[in-house]
Amino acid sequence: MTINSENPMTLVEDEETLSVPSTPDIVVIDNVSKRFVLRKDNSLKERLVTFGRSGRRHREIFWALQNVSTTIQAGHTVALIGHNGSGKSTLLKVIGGILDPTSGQVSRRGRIAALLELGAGFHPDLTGRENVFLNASIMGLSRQETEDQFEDILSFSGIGEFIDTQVKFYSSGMYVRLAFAVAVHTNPDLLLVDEVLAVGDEAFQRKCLDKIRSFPGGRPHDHPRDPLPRTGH
Amino acid sequence: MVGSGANKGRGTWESIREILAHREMLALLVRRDLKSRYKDSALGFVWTLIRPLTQLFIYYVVIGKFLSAERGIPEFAIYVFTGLTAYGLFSEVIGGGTASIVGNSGLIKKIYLPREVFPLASVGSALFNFLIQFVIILVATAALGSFPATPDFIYFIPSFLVLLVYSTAFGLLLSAVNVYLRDVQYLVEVILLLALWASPVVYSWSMVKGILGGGLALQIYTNNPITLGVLGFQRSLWLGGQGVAEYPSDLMMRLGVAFFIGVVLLLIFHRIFTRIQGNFAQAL
Ligand SMILES: Nc1ncnc2c1ncn2[C@@H]1O[C@H](COP(=O)(O)OP(=O)(O)OP(=O)(O)O)[C@@H](O)[C@H]1O
Ligand SMILES: [Mg+2]
Repeated sequence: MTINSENPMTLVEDEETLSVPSTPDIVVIDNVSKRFVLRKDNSLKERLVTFGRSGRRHREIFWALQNVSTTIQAGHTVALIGHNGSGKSTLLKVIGGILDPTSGQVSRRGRIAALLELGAGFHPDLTGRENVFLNASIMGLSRQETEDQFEDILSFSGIGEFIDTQVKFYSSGMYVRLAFAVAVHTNPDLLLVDEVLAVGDEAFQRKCLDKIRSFPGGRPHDHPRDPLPRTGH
Repeated sequence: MVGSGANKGRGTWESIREILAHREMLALLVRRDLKSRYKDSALGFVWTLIRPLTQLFIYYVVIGKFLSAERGIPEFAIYVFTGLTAYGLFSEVIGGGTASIVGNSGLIKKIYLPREVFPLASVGSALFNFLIQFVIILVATAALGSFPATPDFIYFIPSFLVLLVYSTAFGLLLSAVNVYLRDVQYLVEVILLLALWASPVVYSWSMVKGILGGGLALQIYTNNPITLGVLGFQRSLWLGGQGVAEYPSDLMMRLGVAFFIGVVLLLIFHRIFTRIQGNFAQAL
């Protein structure tokens, strides 16, 4: 896979899932490039002052992804490995539809759950319980489905009685536990994980990896170093 | 397979289908908006009442009594509150909508959702507050013995729709523009404040007519969605004015025309929205 030239990034498959017989593609990435334009002026005044030609000088163009083509099959675990700033998170966002590529095409099928960076889209002022329902519905579960799964989510997360506390009072680890618990229980076909597991303690990390292994979807995920023993290397 | 590619603006139908598929989540977002707004406050939802009632009090006492604007406007309190309710709906949808994408950046950067749901959720929470004020009007008019059960109540429907369509259209557009130019949020506040005084909420339309005369200036003053909406509300809900107050001719037709223009605007603004929403996650 070719990424921007100074900063190569590679895609590695988990040996265990490599042996899985070939399954349908759930993500097809076709010649995707992503360009970021960095603007240095963000207020109306500066925008007006630097309007037109001279405005170009206030812009800097940066290609985070260049001509990336690859496919991901259902049931496989894939890791993206690369230096900081090599475009791993950007690629995951493009796969998840959060960013549109500048050129090229991404096709995907099935339900996608994304755990990108810390936060996972919780609202700090709402309780864990309220956030579970909100988050699950964002990932496409109906209220009834969430209610049916609620006990499982709660016990998987190990949050216990804190579930009725506002999430702004959670520790980072608790936050991620709950977000991860919701994401895996929405039964996604594709689970995108970016760094979030890095803050969970070791026991929880192992639990998550076991859970990831146990379900029949494809799950590319991304980590800058190698914080997770055995996944995808 | 569903795809996304470079510069792909979704079609209008596709967007509507996608939003409908997320309606349950939309309802949750509205509840979250309402809940989190008054979280940790002892009075909670009562605050939604205190603000408009305070406004009413100020306008009633200061402008009605001290500046004696209430001369010539019977049942001045109901008159003012009716106008405030119409204006409140408009300004809350636009104000909330404009801030909605930036305010939900946490979600937008982490998961794909049809981005329209965020401005639409602001519409939902504004509608909730509107409903409360509307009930207050009905209760108050009933208590004062001037419940608006007259044929003119029909004006409520088009004026409500006009206010809703225009505010949603601008809320949608401004929410997207605000991502790239945060000044918009502050500009909108100022313009909304101006709009309150530029519509016949605390004074009457006939006062304006007296000053502007019957010419083009009056047409411009009258034929904007806020003024039309406010006038329609007064005509339908404020019994004190029936037979006394003066309204522009063909109010119904003006509302109808405004509504259709508003729908066209909404479609255009939505197209603009879909074109620039692909870059939201990276600009936030
Ligand atoms: N919204 C943005 N606007 C401008 N540039 C961006 C934006 N997001 C990312 N970039 C740039 O794109 C490049 C790739 O970023 P990305 O976050 O994908 O790296 P990464 O491989 O995930 O790094 P890390 O290992 O640190 O997580 C970086 O140089 C970054 O500066
Ligand atoms: Mg990253």
